[in-house]
Amino acid sequence: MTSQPSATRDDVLRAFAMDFGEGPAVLSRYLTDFPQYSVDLVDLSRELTRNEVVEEELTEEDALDIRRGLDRFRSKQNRNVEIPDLQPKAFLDAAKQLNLPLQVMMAFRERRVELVSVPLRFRSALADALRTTRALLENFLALPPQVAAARANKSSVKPVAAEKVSFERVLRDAAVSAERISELIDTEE
Amino acid sequence: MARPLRKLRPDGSLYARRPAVEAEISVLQDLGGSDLVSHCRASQKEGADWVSPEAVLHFLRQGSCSVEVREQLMLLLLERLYRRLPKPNSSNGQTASLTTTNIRDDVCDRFVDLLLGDADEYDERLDFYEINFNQALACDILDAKRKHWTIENRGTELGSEDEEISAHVEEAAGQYDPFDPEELDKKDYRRRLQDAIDTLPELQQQIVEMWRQDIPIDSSDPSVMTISKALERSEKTIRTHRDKAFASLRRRLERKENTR
Repeated sequence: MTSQPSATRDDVLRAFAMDFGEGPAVLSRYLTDFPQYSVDLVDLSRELTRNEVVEEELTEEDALDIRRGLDRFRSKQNRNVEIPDLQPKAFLDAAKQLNLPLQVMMAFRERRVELVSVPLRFRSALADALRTTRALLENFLALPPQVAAARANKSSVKPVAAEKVSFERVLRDAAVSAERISELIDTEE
Repeated sequence: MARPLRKLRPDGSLYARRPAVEAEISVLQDLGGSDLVSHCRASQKEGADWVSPEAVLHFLRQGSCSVEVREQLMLLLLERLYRRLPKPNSSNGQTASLTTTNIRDDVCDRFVDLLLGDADEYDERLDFYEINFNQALACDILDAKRKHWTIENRGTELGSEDEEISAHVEEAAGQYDPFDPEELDKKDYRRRLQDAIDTLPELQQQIVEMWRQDIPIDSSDPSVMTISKALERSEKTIRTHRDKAFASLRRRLERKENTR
């Protein structure tokens, strides 16, 4: 590695990290080429060595943090995504058309259903019932969950962010019969 | 052939992905979005032949996936990331360390923000994660630690640099080598050694790390990089702190060995 006067600290440290696997001589080489970052390089060498050792199972705390990170990603990545304007009445009509309890449609309206758990055929049926396209419906459902304003206003406690749950659980919670659930979930794609 | 990376090395040459990652991308690129996610999930459950995070990141950066697939790929990457982040529980397992929590949040937020920014305009900094996910992550962990340890004003007791080492320390350090290759082959030993090194004062940690990387304490050849030169301390100071560090490591590791 030839020393480049314009190389920033970040560039040097990351270059070192990328070369680290080549063996022990790498640290010595970088210390020689970039003495101004000696302490940083040695500290990073420790971190890289630690990184070789540590590969832990995910904990409950990790799961919560992963959800937080995913929500951050969701909320910002959807800035430029086309979202359909779905009015509450559209969900009322869809509940009748699909012969499902209103509670199920409320879960879709509040985006509390994990999109990945909804079979493609049902997505298409729901999109038709809501008079939109499947792609736009998927964009809508991929947004973070929300608590309906009307329900939040009536509550005496501060509303907390809702969690997404599987389509099957939403159906079970709404007391949909096992036979009907099986019909909706086990659809051949 | 996956699109080439754009980040340049400090010497002006272009970075490239590892051949194994290129091969993975070439195999997976014909899968549709949802099949790709299913394949990644299935391979993860099997525990072996995981799709590498570098390949997952490549597909996420492509921008051609649906919102749903992007989210699923992001979830996979966050899971990989959190497997390697420090856990916030203290050593007694009862209290969460606020500093560690902040470090975790910082690393995760930076990664998510890099990806979001990259979707608008190519961000070369993310190339490092495609070259070596774990090593790039280590860089971000170090940066976050530096920031939060500074805020926490974490101090380490250095002691007097030129103080003489006691006969007791000299005896304990003796010919002891914490990096005995036979011991290092044991995963559990490596973990315990890492934990023990973490308890040393900062200067000693640095000396131990350079020792581990085969850098000599001193040399009569001025062209050879030495610990003494890199840390700008006298040879005697380095030897003193190395002996103290080794004596501490020996005590800690042998004590833990005896209580197992």
